[in-house]
Amino acid sequence: MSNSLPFKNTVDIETYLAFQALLYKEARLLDQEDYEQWLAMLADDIHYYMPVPARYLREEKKQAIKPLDAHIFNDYKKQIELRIARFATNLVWSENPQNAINHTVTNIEVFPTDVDGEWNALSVVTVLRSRLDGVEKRMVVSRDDIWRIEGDSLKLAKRNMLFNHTVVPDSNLNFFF
Amino acid sequence: MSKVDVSQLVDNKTGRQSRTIFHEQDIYEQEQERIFGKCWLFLAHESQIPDPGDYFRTFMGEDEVLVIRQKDQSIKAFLNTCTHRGNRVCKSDKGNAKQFTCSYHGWSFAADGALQSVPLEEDAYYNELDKSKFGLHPVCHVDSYKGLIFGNFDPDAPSLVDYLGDMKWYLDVWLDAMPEGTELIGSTQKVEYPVNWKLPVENACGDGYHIGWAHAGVMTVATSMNIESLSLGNTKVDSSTAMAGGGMNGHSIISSLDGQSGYAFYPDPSLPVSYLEANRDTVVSRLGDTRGKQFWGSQINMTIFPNVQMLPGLNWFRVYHPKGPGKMEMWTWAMVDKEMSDELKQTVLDNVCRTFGAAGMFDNDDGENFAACTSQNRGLQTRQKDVYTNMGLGKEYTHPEMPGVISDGLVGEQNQRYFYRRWQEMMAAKDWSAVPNYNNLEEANATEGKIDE
Repeated sequence: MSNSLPFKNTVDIETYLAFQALLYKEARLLDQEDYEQWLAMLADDIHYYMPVPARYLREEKKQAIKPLDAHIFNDYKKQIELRIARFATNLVWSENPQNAINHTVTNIEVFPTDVDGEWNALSVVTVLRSRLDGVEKRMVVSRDDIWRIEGDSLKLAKRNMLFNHTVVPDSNLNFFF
Repeated sequence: MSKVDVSQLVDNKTGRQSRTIFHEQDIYEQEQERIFGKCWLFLAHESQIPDPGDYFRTFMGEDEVLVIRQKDQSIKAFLNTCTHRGNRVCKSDKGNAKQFTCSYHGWSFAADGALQSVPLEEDAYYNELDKSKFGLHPVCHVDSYKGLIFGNFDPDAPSLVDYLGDMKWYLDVWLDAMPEGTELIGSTQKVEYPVNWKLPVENACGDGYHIGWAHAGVMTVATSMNIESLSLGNTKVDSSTAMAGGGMNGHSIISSLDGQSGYAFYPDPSLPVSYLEANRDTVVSRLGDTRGKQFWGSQINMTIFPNVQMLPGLNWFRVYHPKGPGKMEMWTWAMVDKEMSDELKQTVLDNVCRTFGAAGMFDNDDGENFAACTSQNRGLQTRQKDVYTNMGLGKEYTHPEMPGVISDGLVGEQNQRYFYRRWQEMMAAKDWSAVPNYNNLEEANATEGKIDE
């Protein structure tokens, strides 16, 4: 019996572990609201996109996402910076006291792309947000990323997200996924 | 069921409300019967269901309804419940269907609500089921006003145009400004809040007061135009700068009167502002100088009692669905003029989502405040205290051209008082004949406190 498995990882183990560490680091920065360091991980042409989910019958595919559809995030760097500038004013009362938040990243898969120096990373992020007085909110998002080598670091160039919940379960989304 | 006496729960003369109206289950049940069971409620925009068989699933109060475009282009609405055992007949948010088939036993209903087929009709029902008696339960009245489809459960309700009354003069600033009218774009943005449904309605119907404080963070970073009427108190403005109009059977408006500040919260307002100027003459020719030059393009909040709000300029359209005294679902869309270019529609949609969507930088300031205005009343001692909307009491007047009861400025509580007055009138009235009708200050004063139970 051969010891080799009839399944091949999509990238070598070094690359896979590097992406795992990268996504964990990003999750930690978001948990810590370290937006300065998080912004430094984003490419200048970042597109950060999360359409509004809806429920249609399987045969109603034409109802699926089309141009001019609503979104939760459709941000380029300028809009992301604006959100962060809003937090930085310290005038966002709902974030004071600070809400505890944990981004748990799972289901990581990494694929090479047709472009040199770019990788496609899939992951699922589960956000647990502990608000005032025992209120807890849990949200699950699947992410489809493009990461690109720029200089001596990897930068997030694109993040397409699917939000699991057709009704957003929290009264604000004052954070990033 | 004995009725709650609401006569002491709201006092329009002092702007007082009892906090129990945000908490008590029996008051909530009475709202379902006397407000959501009697008022015209928004169902959908005609643009959402253009073709025969197109449907949209929504709520009237806590009742789930299906709004369906018919073969003859008319619109019908039905309770979304099988007449056999009560299951939903449609689970999709929207779509196009020839029939709606219940997933429990397979009863199938046509788009006009008729019961079309029943599995084992001969073998199990002996062919003795009178299918004509088991159609979907229709919503009694369905009617449209300039693209907005409304439904009403009450056979004795006034017509939709009478219900909207003088508010139509203001609604037309958006619905009838351009020849092609409006459309809703994008899928429905739904957010659940631990909030009594009346709190966001009273907020957007008149509360210019909270904007500078509750939204201070985003106002600091995202304002591209100066809205003088928001930064100044009412003693510093007059009706040429900004106005509040209420007292129109519960409907209301607040508006700047500069003709462009609706786009003040766009990082770059140049595209929408050039659209305004390119079409200004058309709108003036349709609506006249006051509405065409002062209202169209301004920062405006319009409220259709009990639960619809539209903000032209910011271009959002919203309905609040009650889900119990301490919970509601907020549904938001972008509404645009059909004549706008695709580029401008995309700009508007992006701005709606970024300011008042689920991650909207303005909207994300409001929920926590409304939630605590609701939850604090769980305390027995707390909810025996009152809350007040008493700003600018007695400053109302009649304007020669603008309908309704008028006050100066965006920062005020007149409209909130008239919202709660209408709430009280509807809650007290056993039928529409007992509901007073008023569209200006004189009529409002003459009917004040005349609640015929």
